[in-house]
Amino acid sequence: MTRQARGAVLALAAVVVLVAHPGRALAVYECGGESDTCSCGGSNFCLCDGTCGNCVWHAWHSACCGWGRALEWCTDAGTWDEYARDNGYPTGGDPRGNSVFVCNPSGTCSGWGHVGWVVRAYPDGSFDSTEQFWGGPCGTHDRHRSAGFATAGFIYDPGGGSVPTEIDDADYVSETVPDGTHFGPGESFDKHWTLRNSGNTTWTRGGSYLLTFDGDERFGAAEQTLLPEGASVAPGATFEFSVPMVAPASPGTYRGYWRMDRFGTGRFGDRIWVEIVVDDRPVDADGDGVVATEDCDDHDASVHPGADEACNGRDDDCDGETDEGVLNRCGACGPEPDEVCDGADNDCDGRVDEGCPGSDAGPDDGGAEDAGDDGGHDGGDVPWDGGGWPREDSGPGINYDMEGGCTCRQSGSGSASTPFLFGLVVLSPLLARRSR
Amino acid sequence: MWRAGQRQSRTFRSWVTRVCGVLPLALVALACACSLADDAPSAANAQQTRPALAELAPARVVAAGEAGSLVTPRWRPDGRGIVASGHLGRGLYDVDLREGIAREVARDIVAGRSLVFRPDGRAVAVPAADDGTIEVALDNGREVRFVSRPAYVPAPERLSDGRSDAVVLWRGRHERVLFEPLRGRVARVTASGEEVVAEEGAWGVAPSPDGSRIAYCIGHLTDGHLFVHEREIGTRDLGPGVHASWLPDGRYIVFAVPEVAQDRVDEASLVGAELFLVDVETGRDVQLTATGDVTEMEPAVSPDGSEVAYADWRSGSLHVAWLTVAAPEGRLP
Repeated sequence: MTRQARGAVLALAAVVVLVAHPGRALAVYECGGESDTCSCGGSNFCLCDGTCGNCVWHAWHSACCGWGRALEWCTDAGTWDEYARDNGYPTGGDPRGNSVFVCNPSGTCSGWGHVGWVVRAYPDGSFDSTEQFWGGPCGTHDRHRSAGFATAGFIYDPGGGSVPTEIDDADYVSETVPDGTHFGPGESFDKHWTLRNSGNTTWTRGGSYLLTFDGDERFGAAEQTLLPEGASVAPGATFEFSVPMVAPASPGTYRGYWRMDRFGTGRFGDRIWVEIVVDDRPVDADGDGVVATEDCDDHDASVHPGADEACNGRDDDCDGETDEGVLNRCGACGPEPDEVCDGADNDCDGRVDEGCPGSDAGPDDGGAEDAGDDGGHDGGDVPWDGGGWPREDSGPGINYDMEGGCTCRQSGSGSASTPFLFGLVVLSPLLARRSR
Repeated sequence: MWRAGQRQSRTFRSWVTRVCGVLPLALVALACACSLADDAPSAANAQQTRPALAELAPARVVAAGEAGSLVTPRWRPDGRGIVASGHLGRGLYDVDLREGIAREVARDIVAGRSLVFRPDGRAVAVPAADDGTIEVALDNGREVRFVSRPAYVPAPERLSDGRSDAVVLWRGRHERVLFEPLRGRVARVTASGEEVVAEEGAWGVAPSPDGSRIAYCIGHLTDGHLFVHEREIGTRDLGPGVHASWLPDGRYIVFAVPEVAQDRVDEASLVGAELFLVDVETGRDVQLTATGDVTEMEPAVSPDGSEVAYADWRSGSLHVAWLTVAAPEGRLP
């Protein structure tokens, strides 16, 4: 006889007992002060010790109310774990809220075993429960059970028919930016949440685990915050998420929610939030004279509208463009490189190997990128004999410092030295005449 | 009245502790703004005029275990180390207090609060799922299974009306303290009979070292009350509290008071906890910790009474702090 068939026979037997023997052990509508009022597609067919109580009646009733599911069995408590597995219910050894605990027949839990309903579980493996007892104490009782009491484990919520073998869960641990923190309009801040993996799966980026925005004010944050590549958060371990945010522009109190998400499967765990107060005051965190709402980086005083654009890969003047007008002919910071005899247009002037022996481009006309006599270039294939970028020869009064990066400032596509030297050539006869 | 009004003041105390916002601090600090924690004005004033009953030095943190968290610290009998459990009570870890290292001893053992040290302190016995016992050597994790139990684990008994086993929590020359987990009944058994200490629903039962007093909790963890039964005197309700641990003199108890929030409809959740010490002879109590970011639970007083280990249920780390009681010889100022 299969377990299901045995369950059906037991259910039938319970009905027979109910009809034929209105004595002490009855399948009843009320037991231990509770009534079979929940809707789960079936009636509680467990027996009751008079009206005193029975652990299985209460566990069946709790599953009906908590899971919306009529359990297919109501056998001796000590066999519930087996029937649960046979009927496709998820089971395991870790306590969880809204589950049924099972204690094996033993000296501790009597020869029949014991079951009860887990209300909530704690980090030490203990759990709060509600229970009834055959033979008393009568009624439904609150209990706190130590880790290890449920020797046969736990039966989990089957989730409306599906049987999840993986449990995603997350518990809030700590946070930065506590509720009620004040910010100015448009002020940026980073919110950190530490969450514990309280499920039985491991969070990884590849597993599509992420932190996602879950409603109300978003604070300009990204919709999703991914785990770093290679990060692995095992069950029981914690992980700190960091989410850059910006305070809204209008004064007031704002709250937004975030939650863990297994992308494609669903959101899970504690719903966490950030709640801030935006004051009616302009904020200029970097003291550059431009308030945060108008400053594209209110943490760097060198960046603000009206600032000079420097060749540094950033939008210094907050106009939406980066390094506009300060790049050289080659599209990089600093002066163009020297032309060397390598078959390439090194100085980006549209000519190749100008000034090299045999070159069609012919000698340059005196520009700054003229190979000239640099003392270091020998016209060979190797334009530079050391590390780093070649140092440009400087004309009189011109000081290029390439080692520090992009300290040169220039506009247009021409070299700064070109008009200077051109002027020098034009004016030199006059200067020579005056000196006489 | 024993810590009267504490339940009502818990939210306020939480606010105060967050405002004070410090790590575990000396109870002397109650004399400052934090003294508002006691909401009875007369009691608060009286407390300010007396020296602190006890204080807990800032704790040192023992690293969390390989399992992600450490819970349920238990001192070795010689006080030189701690055996803790891992996440959700699973696994056993041997904690070296000098090195701050938690070494995994057993992976799947769920010891709960039933762990018994072998007299030499080199192994522990935990109940198996089948009424047997598993002995685990702490130095190499070797497990020995007993059909019943090793000699140093007391055999269970049955109370006179019991239908399940009761464990022997304390044994004297002519007296035993029994706890029947299924019903949660606690009884003191002597040659003259059985005295019921707690009818049903008790958990976290802790007899004092001399057996004259028995501390236990009734209720869920989130709303549990701490009781102390004293031989020939009776039972007193100490108010909200769980996880009682006696000092060696049997007069003081360190315990945890959970802070609870109703975060969902009809459902309470643990959002924090603080440690307290109570003098069971006078009912005078003091708050040992005041933190907003540590959930101090499961205090365990060291065998010599000089230190308290506890688990932070928020971070999963173990903490150990020096404990100083104003009247170690048993007389209060």
